[in-house]
Amino acid sequence: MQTLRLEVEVDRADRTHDDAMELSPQPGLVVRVDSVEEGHGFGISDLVVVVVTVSEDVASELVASAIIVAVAGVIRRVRGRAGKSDGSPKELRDLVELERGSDNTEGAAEKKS
Amino acid sequence: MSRRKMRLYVDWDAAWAEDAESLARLPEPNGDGTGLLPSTEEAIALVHYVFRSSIILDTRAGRRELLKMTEFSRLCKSLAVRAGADAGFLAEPPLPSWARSTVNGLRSYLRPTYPQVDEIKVVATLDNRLHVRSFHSRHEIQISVITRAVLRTMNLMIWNHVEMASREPDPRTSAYSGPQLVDVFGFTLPLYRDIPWNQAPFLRAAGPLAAQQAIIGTRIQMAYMLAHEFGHLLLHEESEERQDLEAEVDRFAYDLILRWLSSSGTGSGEVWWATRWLREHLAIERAIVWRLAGLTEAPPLDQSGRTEVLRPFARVAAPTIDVLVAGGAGLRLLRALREEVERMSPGSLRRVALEWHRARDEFFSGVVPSRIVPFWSTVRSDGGEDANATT
Repeated sequence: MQTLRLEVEVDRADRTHDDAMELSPQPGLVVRVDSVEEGHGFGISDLVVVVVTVSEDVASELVASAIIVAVAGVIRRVRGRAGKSDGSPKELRDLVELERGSDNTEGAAEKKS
Repeated sequence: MSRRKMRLYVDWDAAWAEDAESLARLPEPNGDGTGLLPSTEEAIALVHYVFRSSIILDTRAGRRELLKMTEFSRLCKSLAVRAGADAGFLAEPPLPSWARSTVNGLRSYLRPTYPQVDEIKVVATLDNRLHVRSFHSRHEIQISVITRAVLRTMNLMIWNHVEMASREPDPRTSAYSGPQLVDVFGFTLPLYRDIPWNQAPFLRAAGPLAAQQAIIGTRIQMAYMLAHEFGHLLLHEESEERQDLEAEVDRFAYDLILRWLSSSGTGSGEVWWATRWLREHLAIERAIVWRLAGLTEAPPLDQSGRTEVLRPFARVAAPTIDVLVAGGAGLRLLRALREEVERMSPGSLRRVALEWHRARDEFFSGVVPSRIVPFWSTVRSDGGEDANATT
């Protein structure tokens, strides 16, 4: 299992986000909203930290879809340890792929230890 | 024989005027800032961009101004690299010049009624997002310094059009038919794409009026957002949620900035257009993000009637007819831009973003970009010349 930590900038128009949301759409994949930026913004985004625990046999496309559902809003940008993406499913999938393949991911660190 | 006047304008609000001197006194780090952690490189690029935005080139600027600008940009880069080597600056950048004067001004008006206003800390961030946010739990307001730079660019784009439209046709510029989405996109691309801010083009001014009005409008917009967040912290509890809460805070903010602006003798007549434009700028930015995220629907428009709150304050501010006409023209342009975004499919908007990304790559590899729009202006941090210098 790998663990990815992503900082997601979200436009939460309806502000009905469940801060403690956790999704497990299939075995080997858990997406958890770890924290949501506190405060009140004039701007139109909140920072949400998402932690993804994923096994090797789960496609990155599914991971990206689960993240989009979990954050319950329109994704503006996503930042991981290895790179960044905008909110499109394709770019997010590419970022997830990059994070999973990067030696810098927490998962890789865990594996090494 | 008198020398020709320099065709560039100084935006005294733009950067950290008070801190530039102390930064310049810091020892120069080895190298030019490359090879650092990506987050540090990004921060240096952003700081460079913000410092550099203190000067606005005129569209008719010639080689002399470009040389000055290149020299100035190098100085800004050097200051930014020093700032990047200063962990304290990166962790908690000082408030930019405009924010210091605005916060001090607003506090002085709030203090008699709300003495606790001095307990509210206002801090700057180098976040790459439009961001003004209040935190009840720590009595704090955060502002990202890039917010002002982006808003000034968007205001300048609209004022350029207003100024151009008021001129006699000029054979060099008559092809310009108003701002298009592609123009806006090019100048704000680092908000959406992985591009360092100091590689984004700078918008030139069509003339002194456009530059001056863009600066005034941005000052009002930033003051309004700060006043709004002061309102949240002073009027409400953190958990308070009411339908009319935002309108109440808006009223508070309008009243506060009008009193502040009236006393400084500048800009109170401009409050109505500046704040209306602000909402349109944010709506355009939001529409772009929704399309880039692949959504085909339009973001919901604010139907809460908050713009109505402004009316009595706008009357008190008594804008002149000229200001009303120009501000109204700008508002129509902004609405047209938003509708243009909303008409586009996610795929076509993404193509525009990629074209701009490619144009930037071409520019920095020494090729004349395939996409150059009127008012394109950039100065390479390594001293290279503006790709559009002679047009």
